[in-house]
Amino acid sequence: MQLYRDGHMPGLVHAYSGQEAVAIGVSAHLRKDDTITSTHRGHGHCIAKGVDMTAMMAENMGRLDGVCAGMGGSMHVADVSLGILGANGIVAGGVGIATGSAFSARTLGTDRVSVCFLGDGSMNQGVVYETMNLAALWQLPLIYVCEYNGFTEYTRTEQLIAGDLLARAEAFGVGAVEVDGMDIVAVRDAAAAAVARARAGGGPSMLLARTHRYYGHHVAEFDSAYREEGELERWRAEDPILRLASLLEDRGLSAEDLATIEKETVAELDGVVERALASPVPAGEQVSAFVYAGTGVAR
Amino acid sequence: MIEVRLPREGSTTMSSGVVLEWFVEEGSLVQEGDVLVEIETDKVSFEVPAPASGTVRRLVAEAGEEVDVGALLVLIGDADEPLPEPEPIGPSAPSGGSSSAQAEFDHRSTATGRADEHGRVRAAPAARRIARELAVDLTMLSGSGPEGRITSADVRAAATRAGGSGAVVGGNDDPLRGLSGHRGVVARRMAQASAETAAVTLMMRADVTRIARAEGVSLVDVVVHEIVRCVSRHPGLNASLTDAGIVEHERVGLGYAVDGRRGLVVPVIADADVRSPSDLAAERRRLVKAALEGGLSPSDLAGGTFTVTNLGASGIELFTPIITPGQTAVLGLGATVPTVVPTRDGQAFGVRSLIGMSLTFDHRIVDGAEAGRFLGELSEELATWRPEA
Amino acid sequence: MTATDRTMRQAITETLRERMAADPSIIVLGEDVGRHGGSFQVTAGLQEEFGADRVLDMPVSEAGFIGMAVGAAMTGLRPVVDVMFLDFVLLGMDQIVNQAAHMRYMTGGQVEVPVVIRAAFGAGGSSGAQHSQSLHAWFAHVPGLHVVLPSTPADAAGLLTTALTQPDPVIFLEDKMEYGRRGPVGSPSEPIPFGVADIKRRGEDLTIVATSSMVHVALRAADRLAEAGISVEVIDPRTIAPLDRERIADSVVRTGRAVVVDEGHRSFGAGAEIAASIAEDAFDHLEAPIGRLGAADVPVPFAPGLEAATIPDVDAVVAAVRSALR
Repeated sequence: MQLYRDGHMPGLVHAYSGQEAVAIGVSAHLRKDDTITSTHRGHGHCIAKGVDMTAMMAENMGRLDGVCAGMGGSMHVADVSLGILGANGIVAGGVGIATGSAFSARTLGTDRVSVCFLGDGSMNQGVVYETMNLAALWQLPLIYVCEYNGFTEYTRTEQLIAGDLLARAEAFGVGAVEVDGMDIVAVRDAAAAAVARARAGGGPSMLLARTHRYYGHHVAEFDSAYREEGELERWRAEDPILRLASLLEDRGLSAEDLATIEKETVAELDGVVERALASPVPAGEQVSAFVYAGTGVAR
Repeated sequence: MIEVRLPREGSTTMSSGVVLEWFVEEGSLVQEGDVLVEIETDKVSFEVPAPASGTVRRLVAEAGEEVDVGALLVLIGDADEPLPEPEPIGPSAPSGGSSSAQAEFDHRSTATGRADEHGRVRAAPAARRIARELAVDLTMLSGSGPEGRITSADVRAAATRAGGSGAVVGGNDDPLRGLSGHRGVVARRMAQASAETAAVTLMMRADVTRIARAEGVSLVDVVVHEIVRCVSRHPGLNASLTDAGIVEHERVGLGYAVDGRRGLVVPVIADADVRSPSDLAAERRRLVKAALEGGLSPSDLAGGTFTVTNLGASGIELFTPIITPGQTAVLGLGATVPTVVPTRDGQAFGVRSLIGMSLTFDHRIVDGAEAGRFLGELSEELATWRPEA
Repeated sequence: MTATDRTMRQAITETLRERMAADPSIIVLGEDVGRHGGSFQVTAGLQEEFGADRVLDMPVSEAGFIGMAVGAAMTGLRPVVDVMFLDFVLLGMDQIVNQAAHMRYMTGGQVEVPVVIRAAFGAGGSSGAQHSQSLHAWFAHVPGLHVVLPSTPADAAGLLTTALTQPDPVIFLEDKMEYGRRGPVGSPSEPIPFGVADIKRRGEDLTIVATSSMVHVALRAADRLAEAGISVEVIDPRTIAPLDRERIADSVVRTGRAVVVDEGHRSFGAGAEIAASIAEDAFDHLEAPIGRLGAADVPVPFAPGLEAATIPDVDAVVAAVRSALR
């Protein structure tokens, strides 16, 4: 966030902070060849799937060493070698891709699964239900993970959703479960079932994880009055990382070890920032690279 | 409505003419025979009369514009007669699919190929390129394309008319004089001769003291007469180079260059070699007068086989005149200058009147020896001249 | 190589069959493509031959199944999406433009998206405004897509072969009124590279650039003009993205005049792009303004006479050629 305010990041960044439990809990069960699609709020998903943080940071800054060579930015971070099929700037833009990934997994006879992270704001997009229909028809290994942070940009989602989200999925024969999205262990346990089912050919399912985004829709937000007084503090009290720390302490982790972890993480992130800042900007010629993979000739 | 078109006047080779001056305006009442406009060709200028009485409804050709033979010049009719529709620009909406399928686009139209208010001439891009390559001045042309657009064919035709040399493209801020009409003709002729002939100039001074001293005798007329006699004795200098070969003319058509009303013009004394000296002189005077008044007819300009050009009045003694295209030689006369010369026995000095003579000949057709013999003989004839009885 | 007489439909079906046999990653999906064989019968017999796992009947959900095809293309398959009418593809435009066309670029070259979207397009059957559009210019306007418009069975076979063996997203457009057109097709058919225009008829006085079914309108117009002593060259770009500007320009440099005929709307269409390219590439050789024929700037009407009046026909082409020759 500070880097953004210091002007190192062009465009807009949508901070994931507060929703960490969901990414971590789901990814605990994913292999490298399993795929995820993400939203515009995708940094957490990518980190959890194992993205090189320096490369992702450099991408947010539009640098040559960015994971997409500076061509996509924060909203389109992708690392296909790790199964990260991209954050997406279109709300529900990743749902078709995730469905296709599940489809090819099945057609090619593999047991990999496809996870589609979605926000609650995307749950009115028609294509979400088109793909639920397709995924259910062919029993595709697809897991919808809806991160319900309660806001569709600056409007409360509950004012925009008719009926019940779980019931919508169930109507397609897609089993849906609600879970505390601020609790890493709860998410992990719920995801275990969904992933195992998909991997075994049991078809699609949906997790509805209730969570919160601390820093609003994006970094340049100017209308923070849409949150009630005290709302942010209530959610902060549920912070997943603090809860995990607390859980580990209960299990015997010492305060010193915790401090060490914290210190090492900060140092690692400092290194990430330093290397990302040192990465050069792409050369002008790069503007026309990557448009086509081929030259219109049969291979 | 009467259409008055550019007639072919006075020359079988006339293909176009330049509108020099309109003598009527739109709305003028004219009687049959009234002069409407003066047209200039490469040979003559002439007037176009009204073929009938009526009101001038529209001046179609503009002053300064070059138009082809047969092109519409002016419309004469009744004052309230509706003007005819301009020629349809394009196909009317075709049948079937296209009344909405093709929209005609709105040409910003100028009436002719002349420059519009932006200083641009309407010409196709291809025509412009060819005009650059052939050094043709687009502002000189009228276009045969739609809305007067100059086409590549127009440009090529203009370049061919110019004998391949073309007109010079202007372009700087100096005041421009157009290369239209007369000037253009002269320019093209001179360029053509310079490019095509193998020109060599021989120079001598001839002693015309006797002629100058004779009473009541015009020096020029005597000199011209002697020139004609010498030319007829040297048919090699009275020839033309054609595709078929060198043609030596039977008669001598003596062109006599005059600085006429509109510039250099060369009327021809036809059959000069069979005219008596007085006849020769009379004809020369007639032609000079006509040239100065602008009254030469096309036949006055035709048939030249040898040209004489006289710069003596300016004090010029010797120079390098340019051969008239189609001829073999031109003789330039200079001033007659009192000159101190040794006497024949070389023992004393006298003052003689010497006239400069510069003979440019085309070495493709005749050799220097022949030309030199001609000039030497002429010089001798002039020096030993005696008045006729 | 022998050449057999084929209809446009047959050429496409056989090319699909050939490629599906050679490449197990090719799958076909669309509405009614499987059991029914496609509403234009282009996929007839394919499900029988290759099974329901490779030829799939889709529910009416273009965004969903086009999106699915994009994801499948990113993860190892070569989907052929059969869109019944090009007009329906609009329902999946986000998937085609924001996802498929941009994906390689946004990821800095990490993926290939080898999806072929085949669609029937064009007016002429009184199918009405929502089943008759020629929107190929929309797709040519999106960097990252290839747009293919074959006019003959041979071109269809060769271009589809290339589409199915190259790595980028392709919009492959079949004029719905031309499925019955016959022509020789080589066997096996040689792939035709994208971006190579074909001179369908040589001429000297003027160049017509025409796309898809307009090629045949132009050829008939050329026959009629030849009777009047006018010799017209007809060039078929075959693909508009990429566009073979060079060959088109070479022709106009020779003839000095051009008329472009395209079935998309005249304004802001493929014809406009081609005309602008000619003006850039052959400017100093133009003897006349470039003629531009396209469909009228109105939705396609239902009544047959009105519909016909909106599409460039032989008369319109002849008139445009004559106008350019003045």
